[in-house]
Amino acid sequence: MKKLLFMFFICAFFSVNAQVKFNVEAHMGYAFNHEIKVAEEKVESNTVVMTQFGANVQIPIYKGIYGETGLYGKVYFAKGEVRNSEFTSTTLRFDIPVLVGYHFLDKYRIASGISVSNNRDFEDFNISKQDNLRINYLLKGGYAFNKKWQLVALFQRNLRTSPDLYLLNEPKSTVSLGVSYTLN
Amino acid sequence: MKKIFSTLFIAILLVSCSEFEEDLKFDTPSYKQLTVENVETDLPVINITADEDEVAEMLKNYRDEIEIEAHFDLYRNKELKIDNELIELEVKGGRSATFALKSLGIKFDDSVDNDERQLINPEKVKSNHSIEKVKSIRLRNSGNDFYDTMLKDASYTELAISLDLDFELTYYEPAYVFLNKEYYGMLNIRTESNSHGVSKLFGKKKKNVTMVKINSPGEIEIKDGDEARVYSLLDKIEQKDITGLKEEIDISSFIDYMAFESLIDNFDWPNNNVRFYAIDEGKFRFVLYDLDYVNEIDVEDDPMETINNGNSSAMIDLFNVLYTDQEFKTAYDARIREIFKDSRFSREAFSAIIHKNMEAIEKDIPAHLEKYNNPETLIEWYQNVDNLKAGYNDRFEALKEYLN
Repeated sequence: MKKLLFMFFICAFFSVNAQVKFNVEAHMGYAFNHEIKVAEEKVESNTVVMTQFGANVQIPIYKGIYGETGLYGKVYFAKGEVRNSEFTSTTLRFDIPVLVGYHFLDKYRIASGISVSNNRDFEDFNISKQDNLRINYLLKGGYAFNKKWQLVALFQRNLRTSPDLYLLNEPKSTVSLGVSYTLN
Repeated sequence: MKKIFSTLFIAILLVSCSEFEEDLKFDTPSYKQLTVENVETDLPVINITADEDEVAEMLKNYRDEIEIEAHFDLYRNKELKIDNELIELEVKGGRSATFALKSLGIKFDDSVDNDERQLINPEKVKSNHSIEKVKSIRLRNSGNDFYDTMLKDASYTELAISLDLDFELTYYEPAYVFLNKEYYGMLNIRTESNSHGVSKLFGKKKKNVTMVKINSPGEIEIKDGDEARVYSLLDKIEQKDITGLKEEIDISSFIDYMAFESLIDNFDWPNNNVRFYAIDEGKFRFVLYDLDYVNEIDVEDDPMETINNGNSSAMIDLFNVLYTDQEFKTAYDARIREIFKDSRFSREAFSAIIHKNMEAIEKDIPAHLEKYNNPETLIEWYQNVDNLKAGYNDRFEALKEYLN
């Protein structure tokens, strides 16, 4: 199934290369957990602001349907407290999304898919551990002001169970708003 | 366009990292400023004084079993309880001896009157045990749990104490340890599981004890006592002489020991970390120790699989021979279920033990974490404590399938 999907994207890319759109995008948003507990205590005032920046490519597939992939950096600024500990953190993660979307009513688009991002710092990667990477569900919407600029909204949710510790600095869910600029 | 993507990709890879800063809500001095005199704690504070070159040599060549002469002080609430007591000092441990903070074996020249001098004050002592006199202790780095919680072995042992199981074990109290007045780290004072430790539990001399140890991969080591008796026992196992084995083995102790070790899924057992002993002509009984690999690997296993784990061992053979006996089988099957269903074995009960032990060292562990830097933060330590509970919960869930 994965191979088929990959081949489909490759074929689509080469067959309609002329209509491919390259965009740069920037977001700002809020990241949150429903509830996390550490040492039997609910984590209080865990505030996490997220910014995301990167580039993507949109590939028309059929009529209004398109595929989208790209590369992003996500920065999470977190602060909170657990029992006797108060913490602040800054976390930068890469993110590679793959989405399928649909253009409608000329100016609108909606897309859904998944992304892969690192859960650990690269220097801490450990192949014997299962928590090196995150898989996120993505839901993305866009409104085009004009041919170049779009307002975009993005919801991301981590699909893999991560130890709660990782959710303190990079929570499970994120909502963000941003702008996208088409380069070609 | 390719340039934009590749530049972005490289930039993100290069800087993809995280910074985590932690402030504690209570004042805690850096370990570099800690001294025997200024440390504020409810825990005992130990200072070991020895020739600095000999200490360095001993720590460097930790596999050489170097024993050095040293002196031992112990303070409680700044009151000197043990003053300049002569000891023999030695690095202890297997793999955990490679860690930066090494476990230390302490052998006193004379037995310490524990009632008077409070060398170790565990919360509870089993009714058939006495720690009035202590000849040797270990200052333990929590073994393979050193980089996680410093609580694991002690908390599982406390679980066994709370269940009042019919075997011997080691008692626990955490302590600040200084070497030549320099902060060495937090170590757990443990009574010993060897002949010294076991004999003192019953007010006996070491010479009264026959002690057998099974080391990986199932090798028998006769530590002290009557070798002929041990060989006779091994022969009875080989001959599957059930009647003879029942005469040699304290069956109640054996059943509780095998049931508990398999319930908590000790992966580093029974072809390692086994001790059994007899005092004088008494039957062989069992000693629980080294629980740093419990509920970590194969927690889904049937307790029977845990017992038959790994290479052959006299312990596995002994169990399998006795388990062919209907009377033993019935007693064992009933007892393992009884322990499992005991409210003192519940997830809540174990969680309460962990939480209590966590709170007891929560304000003392930061200096230790600062020095050894793994885990790096108190939050990470909290998370490791949670994982310890989660390991128990996972095992408990798995056991329902086999024991309900």
